[in-house]
Parts: sequence; C-alpha cells; structure tokens
Amino acid sequence: MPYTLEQLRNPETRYEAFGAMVRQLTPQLYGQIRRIVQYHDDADDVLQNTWLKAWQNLDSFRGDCLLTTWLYRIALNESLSFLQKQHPADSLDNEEGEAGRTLESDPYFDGDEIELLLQKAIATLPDKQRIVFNLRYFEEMKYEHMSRLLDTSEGALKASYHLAVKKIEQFFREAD
Amino acid sequence: MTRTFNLSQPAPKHDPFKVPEGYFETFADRMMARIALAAPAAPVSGWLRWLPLSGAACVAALSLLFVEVAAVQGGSLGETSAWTEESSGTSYEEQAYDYMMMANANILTDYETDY
Repeated sequence: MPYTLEQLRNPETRYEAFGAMVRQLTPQLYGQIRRIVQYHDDADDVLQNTWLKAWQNLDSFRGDCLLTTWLYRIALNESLSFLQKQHPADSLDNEEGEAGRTLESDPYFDGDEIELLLQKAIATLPDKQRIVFNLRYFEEMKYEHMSRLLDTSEGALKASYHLAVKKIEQFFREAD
Repeated sequence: MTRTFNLSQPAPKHDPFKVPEGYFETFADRMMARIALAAPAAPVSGWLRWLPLSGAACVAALSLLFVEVAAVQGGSLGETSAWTEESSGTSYEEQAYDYMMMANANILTDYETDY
C-alpha cells in the first residue's frame, strides 16, 4: 500500500499510512542503523525507537526536506544516542574487545576474517567518526548530502573521514 | 594469512550483517502494535490547537455583551428585569468560565502528549 504525506498528516489516515511507510522503509533504515551499532539486538532497539520518535514527531515534519532524509536523521541521532549510552567516551579499548568477542560469536554476523577485523577497527572509532566513515565508505554518500544530514561542514566531515581511515589502516597494521 | 584491506577501493558488496528469519516480514506489525499501545491520538497541529480557546473567547465576549445590554435595558424594566440581569449574567459568566476551563484542559492535555 503506498502512502502520501497528506495521508500521514490526516489523523483519519495517519495510522494506516504510517504502517505502510514502516513496511517500505524498515529494511533500509535497519541496514543504516546496524552498520553503526553492529549487533542485531541493538539495531532492533534503535530501529523501534526511531519509528516511535518519528510517529510522535510527525507533526513537526515541515516538509523542507525529503521524508526519508528526516527519518534517516532521526535514525542517526538515535544510533548516536545509543552509542553514547553504551560506553563512556574514553573506553575505546574496552569497546574494541567487546565488539570483537560479540561479533565473532554473533549468529547474525556472517563476515570473513577481513570483514570482522574491519568491524573491530570501526568499533574503535569515536562515535561521530564511526557514523561519518559508514556513510562515506559503505553508502558512498556525498559530503554535500552528509553535511545537510549531520548539520556539519563538509570540511569537518572530510577531516573526520580522513582521520577514520588513518585509524583503521593503523589498526590493520597492528593486527598483522 | 595476509590481512589487508584497501580503503581506497569501493566497499565490498557482501553484507556480513544478517537478521533472524522473518524479521522484516513481522517487524511492521510488531512496531505498529507498539505504536497503537504507546501513543495516544496524535496531537492537533497548527491553528486547530487554538480553536477551543477561540471558541471560549467568543462565548466570553458574547456573555459580556449580553450583560452590558441587559444592564442598559434593566434600568427601565424594574424588578423583574433586575432579577433577569443578575441571574442570566451570573449564569453566562459561569458557563463561559466553565467552557474556558474545559478548553484550557484540552490544551494542557495536548501539551502533555506533544513531543
């Protein structure tokens, strides 16, 4: 069932239209969230919080950007909020170990050794750097789009990505 | 085994992140059930939010107008109209007050459910 912005704004049709939107966009949003939080259970929690926030704030969507962009922004904020609650900002070593152990035994992680190492490396990045790296490397998002999405200058995003790449390369060198 | 990863190359197409079987097929139903339980009716947006208060203001204004008219007419109508003035004036004022209270209560409820 397709949905329109008018249906989402109309209290009579809102619930049905929102359900159609959840059905259509969940796989895409889940993929973006999962890359950031890495574990399925966490991604499921963040995804549910994302849809709940979207439902509660539907009236605040003014239509000055695409609905998908608005949802994506909520998902990123929820992911970031989740990461910040998960660990103190300075516990990178602990996070790396925890991410490696969990992913290796995670039945919903099906990566080879290189992919596992890459995810371990990504888990060592500061939260915002992790998001920038995922958006740029895996989703090949343009800095211009990323800048609007994260409300950050393109220069800062390029610097953040550059730093993330250097850290990941260093991680691989040390692991070799 | 050499563990190398060339970040200057495009990311591998293989997605190592899997989901439980049937996860996406059942997610929307579970999510919408949670939304139906968790969230009350969506708040009224925009100018509709002020409609009850506008109605209350109209009732109050009409009540005052009626009281003023009754007071002017009351001078020539004697005791009967004096009773009418007191009775109807109080009654309309109370009704207007009650209506405004109800309208404000609705608005407070909206704020509670607003995010």
